[in-house]
Amino acid sequence: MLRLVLAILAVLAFAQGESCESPQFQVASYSTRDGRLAAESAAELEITVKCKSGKQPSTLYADINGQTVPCAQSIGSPGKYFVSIAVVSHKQLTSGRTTVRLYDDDSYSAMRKARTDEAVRAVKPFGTVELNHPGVSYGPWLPSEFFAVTIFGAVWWAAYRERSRILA
Amino acid sequence: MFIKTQLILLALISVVLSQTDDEESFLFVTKQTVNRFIVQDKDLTVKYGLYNSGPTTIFNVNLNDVLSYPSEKYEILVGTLTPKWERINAGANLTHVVVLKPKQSGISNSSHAIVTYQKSEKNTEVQKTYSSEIGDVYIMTAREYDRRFSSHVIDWVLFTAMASPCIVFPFFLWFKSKSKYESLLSKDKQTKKAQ
Repeated sequence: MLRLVLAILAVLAFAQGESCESPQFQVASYSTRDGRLAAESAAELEITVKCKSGKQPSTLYADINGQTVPCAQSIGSPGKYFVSIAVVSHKQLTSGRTTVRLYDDDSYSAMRKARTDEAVRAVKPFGTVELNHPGVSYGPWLPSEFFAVTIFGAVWWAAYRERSRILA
Repeated sequence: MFIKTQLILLALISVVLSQTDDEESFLFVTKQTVNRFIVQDKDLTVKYGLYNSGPTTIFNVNLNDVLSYPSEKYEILVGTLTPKWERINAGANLTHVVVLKPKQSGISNSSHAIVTYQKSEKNTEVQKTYSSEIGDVYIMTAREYDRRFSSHVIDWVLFTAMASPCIVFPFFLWFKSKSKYESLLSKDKQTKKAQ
């Protein structure tokens, strides 16, 4: 009897050790800022996952704008997961905050089994991170040459008016 | 007659079995940059596209591009040059983005990335493939890029500072003589009025 109880406890402990409990995310993000330097927009999230149990999830999947892709992992740094977004034009990468849902193996298989859109949304994700894209800049609105021309033009015009007044 | 049909059957079976080699997956990897210009000390975004063309899932995909971007010449801002994926499903299209910062200017060559993967989970035989390459690129200095694209405000401020003596000095001379003349004129008027 005692052996059975111990065996059950051992199995429970082992099962708890497998999954990641209450994960904490640290995100370093990048998105294209200069619209003249780059022809297409790209964004990347570098997510560092810290689990209480110390065990890293073997794979993470990220749901970006409805598409679920597996995250890349680095050989050199084990706790990091990379999510990349590359779009064809600068407008397609929406500026502002985008929520990216992360799924581990269990929640991913639950999501795959869900048949309707509501059931998909009801699946509890492993975590959510945010991508903040400040937008792409194409340079200053008015170039500095415009201001130079207007200021020097105004000075010239004032002098010309004064000169015509004197000569008249 | 019987042996003939047996032989034909054997030949057919062997042909069908050998056809399964064509059912394996192949991974295509493209490597591109989204930059219009590559500028020293500015972001260089490299995009790797992985496409699993075949009917089966591939496992343990490792991409290695450390040789194209040595750490003395390029600094990694975001991403990794050695990503790995546990599995890529059939027909899946993945993108991986790495953002680098070139430390030197001049002509630089970035070659193919080396990708290794396993065609099945149990068979550890590794298949190696190469990505497309970007080839020779010219990395311009930050000064060249600024000459074309920066906002030039400082240049104009300096220009105004250098041009202002040419404008302000004659104006000051004229203004001084004008105010002296006008004050003389008003003094004359006052004395005339007094008389």
